[in-house]
Amino acid sequence: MATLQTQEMELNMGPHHPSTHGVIRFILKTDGEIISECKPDVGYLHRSIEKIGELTTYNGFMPYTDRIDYVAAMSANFVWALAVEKLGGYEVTRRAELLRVITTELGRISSHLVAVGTMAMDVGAVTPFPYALRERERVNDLLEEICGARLTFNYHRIGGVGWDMPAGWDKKVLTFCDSFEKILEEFDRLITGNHIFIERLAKVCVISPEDAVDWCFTGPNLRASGVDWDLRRDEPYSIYKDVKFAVPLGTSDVGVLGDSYNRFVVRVIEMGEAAKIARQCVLMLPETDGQNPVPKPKTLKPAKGECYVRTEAPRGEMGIFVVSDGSDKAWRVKARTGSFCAMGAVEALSPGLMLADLVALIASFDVVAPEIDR
Amino acid sequence: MTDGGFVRQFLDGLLKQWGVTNDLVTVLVYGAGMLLFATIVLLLWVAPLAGFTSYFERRIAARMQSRVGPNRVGPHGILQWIADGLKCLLKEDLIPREADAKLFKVAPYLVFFGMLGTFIVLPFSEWLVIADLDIGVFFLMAVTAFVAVGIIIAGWSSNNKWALLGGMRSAAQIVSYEIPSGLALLAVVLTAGTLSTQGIIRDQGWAPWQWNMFRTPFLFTAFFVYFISALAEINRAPFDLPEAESELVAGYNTEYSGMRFALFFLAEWADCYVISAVATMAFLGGWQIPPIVPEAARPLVQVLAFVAKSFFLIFVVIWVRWTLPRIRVDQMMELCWKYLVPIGFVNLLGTAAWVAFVPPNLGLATATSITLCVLAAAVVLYFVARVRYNLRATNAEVSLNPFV
Amino acid sequence: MQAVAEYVGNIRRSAGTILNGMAVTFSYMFRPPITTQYPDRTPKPITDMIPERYRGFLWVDLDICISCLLCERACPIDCIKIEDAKIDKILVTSAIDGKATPKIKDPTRFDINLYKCMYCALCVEPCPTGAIHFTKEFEGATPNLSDLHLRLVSPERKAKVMEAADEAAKKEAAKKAAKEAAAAAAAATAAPAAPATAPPPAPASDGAPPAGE
Repeated sequence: MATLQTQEMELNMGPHHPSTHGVIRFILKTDGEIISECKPDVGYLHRSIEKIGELTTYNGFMPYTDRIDYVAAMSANFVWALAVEKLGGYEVTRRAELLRVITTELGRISSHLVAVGTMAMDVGAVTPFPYALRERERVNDLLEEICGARLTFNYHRIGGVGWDMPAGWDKKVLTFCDSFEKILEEFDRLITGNHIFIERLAKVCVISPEDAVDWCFTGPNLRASGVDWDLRRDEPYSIYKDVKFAVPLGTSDVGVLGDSYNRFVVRVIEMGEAAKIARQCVLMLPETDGQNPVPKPKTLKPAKGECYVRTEAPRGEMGIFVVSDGSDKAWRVKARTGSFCAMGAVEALSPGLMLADLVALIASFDVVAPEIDR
Repeated sequence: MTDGGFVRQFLDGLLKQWGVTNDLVTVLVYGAGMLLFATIVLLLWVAPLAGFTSYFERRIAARMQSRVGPNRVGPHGILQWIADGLKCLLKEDLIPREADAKLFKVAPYLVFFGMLGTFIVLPFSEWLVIADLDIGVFFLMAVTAFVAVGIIIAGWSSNNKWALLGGMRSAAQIVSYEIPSGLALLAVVLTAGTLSTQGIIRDQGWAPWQWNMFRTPFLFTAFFVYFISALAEINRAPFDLPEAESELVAGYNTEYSGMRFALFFLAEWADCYVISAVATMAFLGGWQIPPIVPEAARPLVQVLAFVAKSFFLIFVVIWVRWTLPRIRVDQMMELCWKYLVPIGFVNLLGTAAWVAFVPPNLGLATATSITLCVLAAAVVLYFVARVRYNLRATNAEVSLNPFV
Repeated sequence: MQAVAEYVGNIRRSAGTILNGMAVTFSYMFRPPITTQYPDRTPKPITDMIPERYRGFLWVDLDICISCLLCERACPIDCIKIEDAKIDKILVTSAIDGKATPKIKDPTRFDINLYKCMYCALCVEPCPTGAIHFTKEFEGATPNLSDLHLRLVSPERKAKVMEAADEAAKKEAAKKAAKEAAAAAAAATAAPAAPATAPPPAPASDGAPPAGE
């Protein structure tokens, strides 16, 4: 009997799609449900942020870093402040460092909540998403009290932070950390242990540790494949050497090392660790009472030179490369983001996946379009 | 209204009054009467039922997600579904240019009919059934197959690859899950000895240990097999691949707008009611109520009992949808063919053996029922304990007000 | 045998985890929802629910604005435009610390493009008196773009400021003239005291007034 002749279907998973995280377009060639080729087409959210860095002052660029990754805006602020401080040799008080780390870890919780919630939603379970957003609202409330905004914070400054904490804020952070750990346990009962969820994500798209390093993965994607690398512990910046926290790695208890389920679980555990770091830093705050974390506003003119600083952002390694020519505006700013490299791996990993698995894969990489396109 | 005799008698009286003897005119009058009756049933019972189910679902889903749900249109949002229906009616009727217009228009009606036809044999009380066909269950399975045809036609005629994928997935799903659902209902038919829906209900009693569900361990499993297969038949989560929101935008009804879209969704919500009603009839005792209820109130209380049991099952359908993630196509096929079908066959053979060899008057039958009831009650109590543990573990504030 | 165990285990695990998850969602039916039913069914008025540092729309208290232009320079989007005029020095009370701050210029035009503004606070931080500050207003949806173009100095205020500026300019000119006259008088009284050996001052070739100072 002659084999049935079938035609390959060319599908456009367009920029408007409920589950591409942001405006990203995928050009798929499928044979029924199985994908034979998937080409990502990025650039729909390009806003020339790096070019704008050449046109604004160093202080004036801080709000733009919020927009490089608006889901984890504090991390982007942090890396820009660190880069310019290294370039110009500016000092930061310990109180400012503590406040920076507390807000960055709260931002990490907020970003991972979005990642984990949307991963569950893309796989079909709608309920964990509102639960994640509810907790994120509480984080947003805390950050709104200290800096006045809920998404684009512009909180860190070159040389410190924008505002000192209001009275009673530290107690609120401690209350949040305590209740958040209980909610994480409930989250695990609802979805992390669910058999259908595990069947959807375990053993899907396994990435070995060598491949993960080859494709320049960083952050939770890398750790889920078993590579033990976390910039906060291995190249500590700011006060991370003074705090104790665990770095979760992928395991093969449920599923295989490097599969999508591991990428999910690593993020859930990291949220608990971020709450621990925030708690330790809040308890260290009273020692720095009396220090002023807010730098005096002045025009910054760092000496000629260049530097590259990298930090552990929720989506991977965020690095800023800045070149100064002695004036008050940078000569070149380059942002290296984790989502860009993760997006590069999608084309090679997709042949053989089913459509539902492609959605799970993109969700498990936790890519956001603003980070890819800047 | 036994066997539709009421309507028939009324029409016969009218015809005699007009002195009509011609066969053709008689048939036409019968036809017009049926059409009118069907419209009344549709407008006054099915559409409000589907609408209320949609409101019920939105409110329950919202409370499960710490939200409020619709609460502005009418007191506590009760009239939200009327507003939605009116909005859909008033929308522009879009048919994509390259779509197959005739098939595009026919598809929603096929799906709708697949749902509406089942109301003919669903009994609400001892006397309230449109037609107590003696092939009741068989008729149910046949009519619900129209839904599959309608969805495939909708997916194909939209001229949209995403819709086509949704239609194909749905075809595979519905056709596969017809088998375990039929096997489960067949076990019930074997026990009752009749295909008629009223017959199946009369074979049960009012007390939980007299319900089909707790009669034998095989029927207990058959209930779960039926429930899972029925969820798959109506494309509800966790089997909602054909309209998987996060993958296919809206699957087979992507290109539909306005009233055609409303027809698909009306059919989905009314289908929730239909499968709950069929499960109530087959496994939960239907309209049976304790004999202490006085004769005058019996019809009303029977209807209330039937509707209450059906809505409890609708609550479970909604609850399952908003808790579980979606199953992938190949896993769904595996679940059907490797788990549900073998278990369904084992149930069927076991029920046949039970019916053949266990006489109903022996204490064994009652002992089995009561044991199963006790086991089920134990599971329910354990479940309640887990719910209380959840509330305590997160120091949650408890509020028993259903309306906020 | 192992296959059978796996089969049964699958069923058991599915049922167990599904029921666990269903217990969680069912428990939420008994918790109050956390939605704030904005704008009419909120527990407190909305402005009471917003923290003090909230970055709403910008507003300027023109009476204490000393027109130092620090906010205009700090804005990364250039959405503030200020034009000013020199007035007589007055002291204004700073809103930040209550200290008296000298004010020698008054703005005649203070435009803020609220539709370009990104509410980053870089203009509010350098302000020495706290004249430009955030309010708690955030409901700005409007069908006219021009509604979002704040022109804070009204024509009446501008007229008053120009008047004050004119007066100040006149006073300045009068002071200058008085100074010159005094100097000329001083030069005139000083000149006869000097002996006649001093040559008379050469007439200025460019018609400039006699140098007196």
